[in-house]
Amino acid sequence: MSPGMILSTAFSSIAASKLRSSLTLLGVVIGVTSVIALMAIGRGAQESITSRISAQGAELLFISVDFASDDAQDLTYDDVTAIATSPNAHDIESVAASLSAGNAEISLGATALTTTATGVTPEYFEVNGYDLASGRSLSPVDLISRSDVVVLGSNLATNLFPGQEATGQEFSINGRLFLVAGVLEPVGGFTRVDDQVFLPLTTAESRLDSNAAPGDTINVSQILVKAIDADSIEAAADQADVAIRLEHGLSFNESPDFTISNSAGIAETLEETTDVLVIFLGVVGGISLVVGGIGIMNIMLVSVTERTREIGIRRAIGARRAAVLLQFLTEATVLSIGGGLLGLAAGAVITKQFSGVQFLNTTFDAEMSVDIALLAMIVAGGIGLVAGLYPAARAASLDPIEALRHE
Amino acid sequence: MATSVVELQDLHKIYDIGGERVAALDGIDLVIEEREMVAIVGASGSGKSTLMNVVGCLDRPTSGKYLLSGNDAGSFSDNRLSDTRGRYIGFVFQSYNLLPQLTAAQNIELPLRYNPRNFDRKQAVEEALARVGLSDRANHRPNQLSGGQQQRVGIARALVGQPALLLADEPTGNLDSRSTEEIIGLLQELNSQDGMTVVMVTHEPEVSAATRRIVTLRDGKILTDEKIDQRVFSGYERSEEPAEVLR
Repeated sequence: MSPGMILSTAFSSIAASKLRSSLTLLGVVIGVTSVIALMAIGRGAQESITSRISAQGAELLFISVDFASDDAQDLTYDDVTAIATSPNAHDIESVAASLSAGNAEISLGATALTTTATGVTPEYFEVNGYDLASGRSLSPVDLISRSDVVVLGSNLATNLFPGQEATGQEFSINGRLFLVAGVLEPVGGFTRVDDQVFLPLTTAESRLDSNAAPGDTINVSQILVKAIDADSIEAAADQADVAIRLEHGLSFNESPDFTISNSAGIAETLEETTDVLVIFLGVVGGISLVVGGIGIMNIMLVSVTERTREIGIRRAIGARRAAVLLQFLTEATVLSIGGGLLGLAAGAVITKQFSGVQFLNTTFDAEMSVDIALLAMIVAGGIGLVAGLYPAARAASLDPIEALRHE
Repeated sequence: MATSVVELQDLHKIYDIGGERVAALDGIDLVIEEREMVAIVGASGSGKSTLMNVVGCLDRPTSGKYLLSGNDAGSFSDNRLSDTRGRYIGFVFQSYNLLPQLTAAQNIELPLRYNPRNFDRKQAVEEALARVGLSDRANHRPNQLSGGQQQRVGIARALVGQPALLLADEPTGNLDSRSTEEIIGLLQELNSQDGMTVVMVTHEPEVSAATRRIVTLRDGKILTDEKIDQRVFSGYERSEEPAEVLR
C-alpha cells in the first residue's frame, strides 16, 4: 500500500468512530496544550525575572555583610568613602549606599499608609539608573545636614498627591514632617521602587537612632559599586575588595567578612532556580501528555478487539501482517499528531493570553518558542507510536482464521 | 501437461485440543484441475472448512503436501501466503465479510490496494461491479444492500484481482432461494466464461448439483469423489479458450 492509501485507510477508520476518536484526540490535545502553555509560561516567568535583574546593569556590584562570617563588622559609610577615595579604584565609576529604614507610617491629612523607607546616598539613583521625573535628587548637603527631604517613587507620589505636583509638598513620616524634593520616573520590577520613599542616609540613621550625633559611624545595609563598564566588573570587584579589607583591617589571606556579588551572578543563580520551575511545569504537562498516550493505547486496544473480524477479512484478501501493523500504527500516530497539532494551536492561544499580563509590577511575556513546540510535537508523535505499537502488534499477530470467526 | 491448480497429497491437519490430538484432515489426496468447478460437501465437523482454509492459504497443513499450481505452498513464508491470497485466490464468504465502513466500490478495491497490479484499479473495480450487475450500487454501504447484493459485492471483491482460484465457503448459506440462484449462476459464469477454477463448500444439494464434481468428506477423509457428466447441466458449455492461471 502506498503511504497515501495507508493514510486514507487510517482516516476512514478514525472517521468511522467519530465520538471515540474525538475523545481520544482530546486527551492528547490537553497534554500537548499543557506542555506548551506551562513551559511557555515558565519561560516567560524566568525571562521576566532574569531580565529585570540584568536590566539593573551588568556593571553593578552589590556589597553586603557576610552574615555567615563570625564577628563580621558592619558595613559603614566609612567603607563607602574608602572605596570612593581609594587611589587604585581605576575601574570604579561611582559608589552608593543604602540603609533599609524599615516601615514608614505616612500621614497626610486623612491619608495614612505604610511603605518602605530607604536611606540612600545622593549617588544611589544614578548608580541604579533611576531617573527623576520632577524636582531634584538628594544632594551631599542633604546628607551632611541630615535634611528632612525625600524622593518619592512614582506610585507613592501619585497615591499621596493625586492629580497634583508632589514636588515641594510636605507630609509626615512617623510623625515627622518631610519635604518632597523630587519624584522618580516609574521603574517597574519586583523591587517595588515605585512604592518606596527615599531619604538621606544620615536622616534615616538618625530617625532609626534618635541618640545618634553627627560624626558617629553610620551603618549601611548595602554598598553599590558601579564599574566603568561591564567588562571592568571583575577589576572593580577586586578594587572594592582591597579598599574594604584595608578599612576593616583584614589581610589578604584572611577570608572577608563581606560578600561582593553582581547582577550577572544573581541572574545566573535565579535562572538556575527558575530552570527547575520550567522543568517542573514541563513535567506536569508531560504527565497529562502521557495520560493522553495511555488513552490512545486504550482506544487502540479496544479497536483491535472490536475490529478483529475486519483484520481477518483484510488478511484473507491479501494484507500482510506488516500492512495490518502499519494500519494500526498509522491510526495511533494520526490521532496523536492530530491531537498534537490542535494542542499546539490551543497552546499558542493560551500563551498569547498570558503574554503582556502585569505580574508583580512586571510585564510578563509568555514565550511560545519553536523548541518547546517541536519538543511537544515529537513527544506527541512518539507517544502515539509507542501507544500504538502494542495494539498494532496484537492486531498483526492475529491468526486470520480465528479473526474471521470472531463475532 | 497442464499443471493442476490444486494438488493435495496425503494432507493431514491435526489440532491439539486440550492435550487431545484431533485430526481435522486425515490423509486427503485431491487434485483439482484448471477450470473445474467442485463442490465440497459433508456434515459439520467433517473437515470442509479446514480443507478450504488450507487450500485458501489461510492455514498450513500439519503434514502432507499442498501444491498450488505446482508450487509447494507448505514452504511459503507468511508474506508469500498473504500475497498468494491476494493475487491468486479469491474468497467468497457465507457472511459476505464486507467492511461496513466502506462503500461497495471501496470494498471491491481492497484486494488491489494490498496487492497492486499492473492494471488500472478504478477500471477493474468498475468492471467487477458491472460483472455482478451492481454498477448503480457502487457508493452504497453494505447495510444499504440486500443479502444477495452484498454477496454479489463479495464476489466482485473476489474476482477483481482476476484470481485463478475462487473459493466459496457456503456462499448461499445466508440467502433465500432466488438470491441463491443468482449467486450460483454468477459462480458458474465465472467458471465457464472466465475460466476460473471454483471450489465451493456447501451443504445444500441443489447448490452442489450445480457443479460437475462433488467431493464428500467425512471425519477428515474423502468419502466419495463424484464427477458428473456435463450433459446433466443444461446450457453449460465448456469454454475452449486457453486457461489463464497465475498470471
